[in-house]
Amino acid sequence: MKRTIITFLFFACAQYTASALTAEEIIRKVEANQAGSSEVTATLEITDTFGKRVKKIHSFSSENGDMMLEFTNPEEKGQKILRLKNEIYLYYPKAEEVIHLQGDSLKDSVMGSDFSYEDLTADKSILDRYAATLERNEAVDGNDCYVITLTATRKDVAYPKQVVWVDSGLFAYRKGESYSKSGKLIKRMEIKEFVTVSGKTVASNTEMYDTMKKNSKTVFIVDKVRLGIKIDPKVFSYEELSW
Amino acid sequence: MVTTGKKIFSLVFACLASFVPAFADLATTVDLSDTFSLVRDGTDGSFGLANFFDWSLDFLSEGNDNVKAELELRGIGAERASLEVKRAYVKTRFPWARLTAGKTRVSWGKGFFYNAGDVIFDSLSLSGSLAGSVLRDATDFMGVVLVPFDSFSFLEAVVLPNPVWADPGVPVPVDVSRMSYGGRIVAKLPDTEFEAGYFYDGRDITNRPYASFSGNLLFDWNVSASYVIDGLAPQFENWKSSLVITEGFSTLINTEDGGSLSLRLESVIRPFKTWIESTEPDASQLTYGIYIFPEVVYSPVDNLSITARSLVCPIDWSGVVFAGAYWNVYQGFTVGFLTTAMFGDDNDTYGTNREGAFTFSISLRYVFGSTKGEETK
Repeated sequence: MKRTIITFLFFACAQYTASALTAEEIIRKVEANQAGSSEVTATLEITDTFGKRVKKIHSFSSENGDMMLEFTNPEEKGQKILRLKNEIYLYYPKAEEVIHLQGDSLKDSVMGSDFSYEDLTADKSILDRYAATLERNEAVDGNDCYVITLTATRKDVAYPKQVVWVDSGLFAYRKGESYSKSGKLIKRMEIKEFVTVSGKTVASNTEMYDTMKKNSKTVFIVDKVRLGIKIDPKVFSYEELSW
Repeated sequence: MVTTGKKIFSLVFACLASFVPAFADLATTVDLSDTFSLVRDGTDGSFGLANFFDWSLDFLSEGNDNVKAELELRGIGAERASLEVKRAYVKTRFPWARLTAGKTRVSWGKGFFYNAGDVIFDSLSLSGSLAGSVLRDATDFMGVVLVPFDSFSFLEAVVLPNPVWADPGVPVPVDVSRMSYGGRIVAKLPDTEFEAGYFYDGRDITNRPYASFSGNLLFDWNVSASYVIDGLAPQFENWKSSLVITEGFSTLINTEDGGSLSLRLESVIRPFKTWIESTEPDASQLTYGIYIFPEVVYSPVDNLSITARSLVCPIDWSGVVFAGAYWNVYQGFTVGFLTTAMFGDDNDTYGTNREGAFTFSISLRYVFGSTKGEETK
């Protein structure tokens, strides 16, 4: 679940300003514009055959990619995730325990998309793992988008192929698809709404579909977001994690 | 007929619930769990049904960034509830230190189940429930001062008054030698975390130094070691026989189907204890040189996890195995299917002839509550 949330945050805080470019340049501009501090309050709605489950989170992200995330819904209240450059700390309030993860845990993919914890740090690019090809322009909900195919250049990725639709005006993701080795569509993501905050465009409603599961949908709703704010470095410390 | 337990429960609940509308900065969580078990008594081979109902009420302050307080009440049973104050603490922080006072927990050392560095609460026992997501959560009354000197390095001092309670709940002053106290230093080194500390335990007049390391080399790993020095008659042989080393390895793997697989292996080693299986009839009371704790948790989807854990003594080749599936069906509602089985001979550490040697349980758990954010939305 923590990976799901981090993936959504990744998309939620992506904002762009550019004109027509090569596929690599488009991706690089997308990633360049992800840098910046933010505070996000969000709701994750998971719908399946049995109904809807809701999780609430509050997170801080620094310019260098550090992130502190706290669950605020009653079931997981107080559980925290601190992601630093090469490591992750998990905090469980009932055990008053901090668990430190490094190594392979960071290289694992983030929820089916091929984002890993490593990718989500500022000094890593998805282009380190994928070759990008600009296929065509195509409208999504009436908005012109670049359609870019990402083909894995390494074996240690969750999906060998992804296709993303990047809004040519906002330079924000409108849509994404992830495929298995056999070419089967496995995950589909759609950005339904954007909001403008501090002059930047932020995905505020993102839907994820797992094509392997019927009647399954995950919606990430950004309730509140602040960008470019000054965050005390102590937010990304043991003291704050275990507070 | 209203029992004493019920009176206490009703009174506490009514009092606390009445505060809810008055203070917006309060998060409340109620956790109810009911477990029905089919139990085989290994001593006579008979089967029986058992019902275990437990609950907790948790009140957590919110809204003040520098002061936090929590009151958690736990009980077992309903009609004749046994009530425990699991947590009752206030903590506050200043730019240079954090202070905590009350009944709470500190986790010293490294290790999920076996942890030689946990010199305060002793995470070395060979028994205990393997069913929970949190296996070690003992609390006690204490005062704690934490002084950070960088983001992940700090000093921490703790004192446990070990109070003796007199009627009607007033603590009797305790001799200083019967109090417990200690401190630890935690430092982050390149690729490794180091922790070392000392604890004087006034409950049994012992001194307990320890050290822990953790890092990553192919897997996430941790090692802790501690020993006990008798406070009244310190002798080399005594602490040598008490030397305990624990180590653990863990990793998390994302599976191709989008799920996750968590693997963990921990062990506790006592180098100067028995390493050869005893054939004596009362050998089950012996402490052997090594015990292991393997764990596999597979979560194919967000709301389903399958857990297998075991406590094994590889010297007498006996153990207890737990397997459980937890399905989070609705918001806060989880159904669990749990099985525990022991294996081993009559004089082994674990044995099929023990009470509760086999259980199959179905548990229903519901967690609900409110937070400040929900109230103000």
